[in-house]
Amino acid sequence: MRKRGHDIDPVSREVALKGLFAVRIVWAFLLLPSATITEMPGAPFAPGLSASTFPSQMGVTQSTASVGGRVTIDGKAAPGVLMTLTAGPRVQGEPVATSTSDIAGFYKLTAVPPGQYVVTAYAPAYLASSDGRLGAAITTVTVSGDESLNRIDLTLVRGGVVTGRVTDAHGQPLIAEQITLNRVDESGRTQPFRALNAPMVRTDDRGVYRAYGLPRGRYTVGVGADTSRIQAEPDFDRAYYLRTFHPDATDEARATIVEVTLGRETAGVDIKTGDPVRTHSVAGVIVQSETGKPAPNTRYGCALVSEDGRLLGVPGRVEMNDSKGEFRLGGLLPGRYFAYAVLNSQDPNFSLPVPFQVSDEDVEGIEVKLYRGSSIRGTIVPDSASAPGAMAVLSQISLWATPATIDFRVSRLGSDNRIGPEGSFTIVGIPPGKVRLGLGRTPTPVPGLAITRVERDGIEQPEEIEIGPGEELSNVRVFVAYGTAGVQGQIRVEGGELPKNARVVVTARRLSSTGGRHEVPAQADARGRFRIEGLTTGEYTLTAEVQQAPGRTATSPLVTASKTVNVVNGTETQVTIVFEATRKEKQ
Amino acid sequence: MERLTELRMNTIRVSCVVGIAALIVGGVAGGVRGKNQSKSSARRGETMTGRVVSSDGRPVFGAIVSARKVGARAFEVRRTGADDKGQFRLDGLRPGAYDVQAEAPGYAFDDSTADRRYYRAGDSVMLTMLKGGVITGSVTNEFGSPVIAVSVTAIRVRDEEGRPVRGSAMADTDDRGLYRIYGLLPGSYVVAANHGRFRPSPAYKNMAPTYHPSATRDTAAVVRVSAGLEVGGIDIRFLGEHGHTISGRLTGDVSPLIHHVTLTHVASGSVAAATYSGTREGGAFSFSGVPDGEYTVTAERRGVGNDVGARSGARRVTVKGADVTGLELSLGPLGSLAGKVVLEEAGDEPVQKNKCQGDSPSAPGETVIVARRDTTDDKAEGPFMLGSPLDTAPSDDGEFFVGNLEPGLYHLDVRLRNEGWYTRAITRSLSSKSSIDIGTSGILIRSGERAAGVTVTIARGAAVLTGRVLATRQSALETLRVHLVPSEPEHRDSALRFFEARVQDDGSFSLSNIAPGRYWLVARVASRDPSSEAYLPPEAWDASKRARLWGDGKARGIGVELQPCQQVSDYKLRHVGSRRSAPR
Repeated sequence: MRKRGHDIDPVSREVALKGLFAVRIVWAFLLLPSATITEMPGAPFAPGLSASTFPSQMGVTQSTASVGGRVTIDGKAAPGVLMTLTAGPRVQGEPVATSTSDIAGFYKLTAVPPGQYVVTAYAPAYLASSDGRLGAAITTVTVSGDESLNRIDLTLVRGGVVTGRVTDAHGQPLIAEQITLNRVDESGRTQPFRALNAPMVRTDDRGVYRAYGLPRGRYTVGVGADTSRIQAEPDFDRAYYLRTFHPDATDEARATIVEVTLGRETAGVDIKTGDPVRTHSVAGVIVQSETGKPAPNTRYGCALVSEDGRLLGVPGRVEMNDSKGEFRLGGLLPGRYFAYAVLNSQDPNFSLPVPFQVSDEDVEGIEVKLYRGSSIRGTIVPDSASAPGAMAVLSQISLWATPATIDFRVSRLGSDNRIGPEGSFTIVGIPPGKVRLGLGRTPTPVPGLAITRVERDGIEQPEEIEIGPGEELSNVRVFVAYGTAGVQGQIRVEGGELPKNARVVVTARRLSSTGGRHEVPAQADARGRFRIEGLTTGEYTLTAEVQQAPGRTATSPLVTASKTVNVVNGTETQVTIVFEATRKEKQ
Repeated sequence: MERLTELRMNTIRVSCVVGIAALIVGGVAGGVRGKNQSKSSARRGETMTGRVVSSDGRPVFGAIVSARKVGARAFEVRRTGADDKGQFRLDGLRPGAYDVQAEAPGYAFDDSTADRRYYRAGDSVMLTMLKGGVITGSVTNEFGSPVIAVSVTAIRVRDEEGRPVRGSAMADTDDRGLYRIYGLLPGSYVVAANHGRFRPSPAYKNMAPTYHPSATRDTAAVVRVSAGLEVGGIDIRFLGEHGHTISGRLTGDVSPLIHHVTLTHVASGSVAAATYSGTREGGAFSFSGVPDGEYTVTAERRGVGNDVGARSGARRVTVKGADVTGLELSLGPLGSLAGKVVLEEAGDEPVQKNKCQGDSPSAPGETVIVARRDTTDDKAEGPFMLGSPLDTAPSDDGEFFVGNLEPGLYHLDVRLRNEGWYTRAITRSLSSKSSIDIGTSGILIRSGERAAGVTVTIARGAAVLTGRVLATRQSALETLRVHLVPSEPEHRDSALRFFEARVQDDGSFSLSNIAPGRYWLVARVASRDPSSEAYLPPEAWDASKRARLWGDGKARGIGVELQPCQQVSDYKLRHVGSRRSAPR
């Protein structure tokens, strides 16, 4: 059964638009990670100005580059819309510039330093027709030098609305429960949808919810705790309603799909839940396997695993056991879990995840054992094409050994296995098996740094190194590339257009002087501009690949084009890659 | 060798954790429980059970109950959720006193410090929540068009009885400009769109708030909210005017902990905006979108553990058409008070003969000591500690400590666990030989003073007096209090010998932990001061009120003599009018 929508009446629509335009100074606040909303004292927020700009970094010479364009709704000018420019491609930090569109819908964001940005129209309930999949009126741009980009236009459309009421098995309203919307793609797979510029949707005291600003599409609408995640409050036990989808399905595959149309309201999307389920706790002790003695004041955590033993979602929070080595962690919904110790990076031990099952009661008697781990010692060597200062950068970061077959990030803390001044390193507490070496705290890459080759006793090692129980691997050399060269590029299309909603990913590749590979990817913006940083002096092959949106689902290359370019550390090289709008490669 | 074998086995398991994890986990489902896990057993420690009900007696399913251990040097809170019968259970509690509160969406729990009850591990607790009130309305601009995704805040300015209080709740407008704020405590509210808060929405951060109906704070309309009822049509015509910025820096005793910085509107006394700062923010703070007016800015940090907390003085600020920048708020450490609770085992002979009910010695940690500050000259100072209670409980050896004390005169309100004990004396030693009585006069804490040497002496043999006030009119009971006034001349100026209790709606009253002796019983209307904070201190803490009470008792009181351990129940006290009492 599909829900029939009805048009938001023209009067309301007109009223809503006026409401939008009346907003003079607004920011895309939900795009900003909460941790970054810190304001420098005396930051020049100029009240009373319809446009304000300020440098993104202290002491940076103000740029004369600008980004401008026109904001329209249904082809008509949209005045009074606040526009912001924020570091991209994922929105980060405070806006670099803000401006409000004028009576004709034009805006101009000035004093923009070079870089990649997201342009956002703060327009709750509206979407940019070009990128409505994000649930926000945004587009990405790359700015270089002192150029003026004047055609960054945004066309806004009114998003769809879904509303309904949530009740329990006894007809009582569920209050302050978060509503989740999952988009259903053509093959029936679902992806969580989160509107970037709309508040979190929750039921009110009547159980009523209203989600607005939704992109067109097919959705499932759910409420209740996601059993594939450890709940947010692991320190106490309480009852949760299990995830239930409109109208009353606990299995998402049986949910009634809701069609959302732009500018229309779909009402009556009610949800009826079952009875709540109570969480339980797990208790146990962490011991040294060798002696059987308790390991007090040791951090530990629990991770939810799927029926086939795969790690689900993000592991729960990390706690510390008591002075007797004992622990108790609450807030676990029925499911399968691993309990494990979370050790400091200098701890010579490792722990094995201990599986347990939570059903309808607390779990006691879990014993997590600590085992003496293996170690890897050696030296880290910048390759000859690296920029000066590589050792100084390396001395600020850590080298990690990540087991290839388990997400070991869950069980290591700290970053004190720093690389020594001569490039020496020691990694301890490694469980036996295959491990992969990584720089910095994965998954965050260190800009400009990449491992290109690993040797032991002068012999190249595979990407995954086999290490036995208690083994001490030494004389390992890790070659890295540290680059400060950049490429400023432009994609050009001849003889046609790229597919709609396509994106272009450009990857710079080369063989390093040590025989290792060095690869740096980047995404081109809507105008085909891209910027690749962190390359080392030498010859790179740039390969541009057209991929199909949306981004998270598997992409398939439609067309590729490539070009060879020579770059030098500390400089930026201009390059143009030309596509012919056919499926064959063009040099 | 055994270790090696074990490790080798585990090598297989590690390398296969993902690949063969199905096997491992499958083993769990199939019966690994016997090896890796066992069934639930009782946790060590004590248990607290209870129920959360709404004022109509219905269970509040899903209410989150939190129990804060009083006197813990680190913040120690245990939480649990109530089941569908409203019942909850907290296991594994350390012995001691707990401040127990409940929260549930749509419901309100009055956590004002007025008559805060403390519970002990082992107690059965009944928590009553009110079905919250609701305020709804719309926010539109000057053209009557909806303003979308703006926050609307309901600021509680007075409680049901007209006493000034602080508190707020908020909601965002939807795509139609409609908002709905629920779970409100009864009382008087002003409602504002884009009102300052801890994390001001960057969306409207430079705009001044607009109060219902389309007003500044000075002319805001007051909305009265009753429990469980909805007040509709609280519409706001959003002015969208630019405000100004007040910014500055914290100096002095600043730490990485959270420092609350509060902007108070002087004329109304209500919070105009709140933010926070600390060393991580470089001590910087800023309020944006502040309309013209007179304000005070204060900063404070609640100390935990060895940190006694800190606060600045109230800095007066006038905003008139321009930003105010460069403010410096200098924080100084708050005061603290340390001492010991002493159990006076060797009492009078009759006490030893009488076996009081409930006089078994309880753990010292079950006694709660609340430091109560005389707040009569406090109005200009703005809020302090956001209403946090200044309570503590002694450690096992009887030592107690309470920090976060701003300068002022404090009385110690001693809450004893067992009815059979009473507070005989509260003293402060000045030297090894001399001490002064602070049970009556209170103790003056100067700025940043670390006062020590306080001794709270508790003794066995307390009496209990319960009964009922018989009034000619039911309404006369509502504000009535029953006082026990010492009739022995040597105690006429000892605040610890005065006892008072609120008369319940059914006329009943209960006085406990009473020092044995002769008293007069007086029933009279509570002295009401509409400008006072919610908490009404015992009248005996004020010398003139104490004298008046003694005069009343002598003139009209009914004499009663309470023997050690005596339990008087069903006492009937006739009340014929204001400040009058008559023999039964």
